[in-house]
Amino acid sequence: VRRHGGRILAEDESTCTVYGMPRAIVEADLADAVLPRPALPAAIVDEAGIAA
Amino acid sequence: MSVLQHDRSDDYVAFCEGVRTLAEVDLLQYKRPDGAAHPVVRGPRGIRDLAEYLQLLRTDATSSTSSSTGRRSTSPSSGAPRAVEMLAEHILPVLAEAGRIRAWSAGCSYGAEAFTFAAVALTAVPGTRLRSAAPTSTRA
Repeated sequence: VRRHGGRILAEDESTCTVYGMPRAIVEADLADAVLPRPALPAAIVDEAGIAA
Repeated sequence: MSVLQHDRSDDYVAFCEGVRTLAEVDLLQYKRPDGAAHPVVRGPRGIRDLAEYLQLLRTDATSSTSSSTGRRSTSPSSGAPRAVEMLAEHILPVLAEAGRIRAWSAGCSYGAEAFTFAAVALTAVPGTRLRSAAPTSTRA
């Protein structure tokens, strides 16, 4: 994703059902942002360049 | 990296059934790992095996439930809105307004996430037209 110009949002541990996959991204220092689940929709829309 | 161990054949099934009860996610639908040790996830809080991890998840779910508002659209373990509902209500409709959506499901195995995404898009965005894509290997 990074290699092709994408940005990576990871869900924060506080709202994860199982933190395994987000943890792998965070520990690999690949996350551009770590956000709780309720904040993800706005962040995704923002990353897509769409005004909310 | 530390790993969670499941030494008895029933441990993994019991763990999956417990997770299904807690989170409505059926891990038994996924390919079962081979061998005695399976790197399910790095053991948090010093846990050593799947039974301890399931107990931790149950404890977290109980704590969350006791402080929850009781909304049905919440994750049992966190109180957060369910990801699928957020996708359907707050993400896909907005992205669809702006144009075509391209989705990539990393390591999608037999395609559960990809098919779920497609089903949610068909439901949440009227007039959705799906285009399938060939699997893409990212391995060198």
